[in-house]
Amino acid sequence: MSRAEAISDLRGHLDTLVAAVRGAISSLNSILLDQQRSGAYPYTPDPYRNTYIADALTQLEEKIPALSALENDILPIVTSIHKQCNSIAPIHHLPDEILVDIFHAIPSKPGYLRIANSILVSHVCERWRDLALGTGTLWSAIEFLDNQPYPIAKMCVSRSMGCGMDVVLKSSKGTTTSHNRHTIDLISAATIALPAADRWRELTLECTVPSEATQIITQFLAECQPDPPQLRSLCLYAYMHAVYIDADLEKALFSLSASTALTKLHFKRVRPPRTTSLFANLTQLILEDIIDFSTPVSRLRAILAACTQLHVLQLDKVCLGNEHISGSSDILFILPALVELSIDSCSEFVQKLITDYLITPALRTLRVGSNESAATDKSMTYFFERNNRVQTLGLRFISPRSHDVISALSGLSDVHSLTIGSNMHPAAYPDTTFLGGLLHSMPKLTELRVEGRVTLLELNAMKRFIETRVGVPGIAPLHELYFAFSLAHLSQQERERTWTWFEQKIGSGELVFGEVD
Amino acid sequence: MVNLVTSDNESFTVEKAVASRSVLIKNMLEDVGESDQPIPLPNVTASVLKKVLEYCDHHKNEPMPTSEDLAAEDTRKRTTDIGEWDQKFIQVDQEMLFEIILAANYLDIKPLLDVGCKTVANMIKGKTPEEIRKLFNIVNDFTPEEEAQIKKENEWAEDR
Repeated sequence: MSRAEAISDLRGHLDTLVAAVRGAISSLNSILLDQQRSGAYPYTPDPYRNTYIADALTQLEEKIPALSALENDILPIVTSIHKQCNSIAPIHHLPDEILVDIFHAIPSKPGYLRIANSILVSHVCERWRDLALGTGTLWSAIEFLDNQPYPIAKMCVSRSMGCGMDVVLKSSKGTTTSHNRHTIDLISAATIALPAADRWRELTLECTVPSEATQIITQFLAECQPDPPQLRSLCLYAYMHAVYIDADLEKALFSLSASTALTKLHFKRVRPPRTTSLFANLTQLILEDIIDFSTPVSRLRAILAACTQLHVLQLDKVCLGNEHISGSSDILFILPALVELSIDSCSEFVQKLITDYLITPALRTLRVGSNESAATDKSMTYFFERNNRVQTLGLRFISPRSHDVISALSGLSDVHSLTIGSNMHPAAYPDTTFLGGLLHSMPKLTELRVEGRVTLLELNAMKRFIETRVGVPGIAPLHELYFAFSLAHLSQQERERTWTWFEQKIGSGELVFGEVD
Repeated sequence: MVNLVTSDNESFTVEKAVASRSVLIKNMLEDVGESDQPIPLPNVTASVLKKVLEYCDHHKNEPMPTSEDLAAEDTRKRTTDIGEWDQKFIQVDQEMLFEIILAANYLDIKPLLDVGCKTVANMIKGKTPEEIRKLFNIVNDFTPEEEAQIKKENEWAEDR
């Protein structure tokens, strides 16, 4: 038996001993109490036995102080042994900073507070608690989701010490018929976090009416006075129904832009404001689920033109007004620092604004999707030709079958990662027409991802695509293959054969088949 | 080739590209220049170094993480994704897992340290404090006062 095991055994025995002593005292007290009652209301038919028990119990009663003393003597030893056991547990060979890194890396469970893991680790043992409570970054998220855990929020404000805070205020269980209650809850929830307003770094606000956002932003700015706020990220979401930005919210956003340099903005179901100064310092802009044909696409152009420092732009389901865009060259605009662009399911005019008029010389990551109003092949061809330095490419739109588009794609010689298809769009297109057109292009391509399900024909097209690249001079071999679809529909034998085939082609690389069936 | 000597006095001769995955060794080699002198690694045993070198060999052709990469990782929300090969590699007993983490920390191999930390983090995920204690052989050593506070925190968390 090792020393660690012996100590662990000893701890176990001592725990049992303390528990036994405690149990004996407790049982004894119960018996004595019962005996007193029996004495007051004698009903036992055996007086001799009664007397015998009474004598024995009296003797035992005299031993209680000795047993209590024993417990008191043993307890510090047990506590000491517990601490010694913890110090020799293998995980406690790790230094504090690594344990803290581990705490930070625990994945959040969906639907739980982000600080739930911080609470969890602080309940394990004294060392973990001391470490967790001494690490402000573990407590730097205040979230009011469907309910208001006020004491937890207060605890986060105090335990986060001087760290920047990520504040999330949303009530996804609110209903359209309970606006008043929802409004009061959101505002009062914000009040809990406002004492730390000077430490807010990210604010996510999901409101049902503009006045909620106006009030919270105004209070936040007032609370930060006289110092400038440190807020860097604002995510403004509308719950269920789209929210228009009224004059008051526009004013509040203007005040915000005047006092702090936001680097990230995310509007979801919220019409972007006219205040272009809000966008001046952005490095990341996400516009999502904004369907408003009364807002002209020129508003988006004005916003994007103001984002001179933008690195990441994501336009997801942005459908703006059917306003004619002039074809004259003076409407071209440039985002010089844009490295990553994602555009998916946008209206034709929004898509046209991006594909025909946006110049992005630094673009390296591009994801393109489309709804039924897909951009014309001519636009897409021109767009790919313009952005020929792209290294990571995602294609989620469904009709790249035109020769011109495929030809433009094959000119993207820097692409090393290609994702095709989408889980959202059931039809992927790693088919013969598409992949056949790219057989010997994209010479640096080493990673292929296919999302969504594929047919057997498409699987064969992929095999051909992969096979024809093996051993070709100047063409990098594919060594990372991620397929979102599973092989469950194939027979066991066919499945093994397919797996082996792909595995042989990528050598020591990575091969992953997913769960989409 | 580089000659590494472990705390239990075992020698490993490896390619420079493999040994240089360790920033500590890479810096040593740069400081010392071309030399046949063995590099002592007093904090690493042979069994652990063997595993660490297996990792370094597999990843020897990958670009080293830059300081920008590391800074970006600190600010980004970290993912707990671990590559398939790394997952298989790190399937070891707990004692070896923690030894690998310690060695990666000492040798300054950030990607290996990350794999180790993420593995432990994934082991903790979804467990109760009691299950975590059992998993890592930790004893509940809270004082009665701390226990009372913990009980209160649990009630707050359950309220939501």
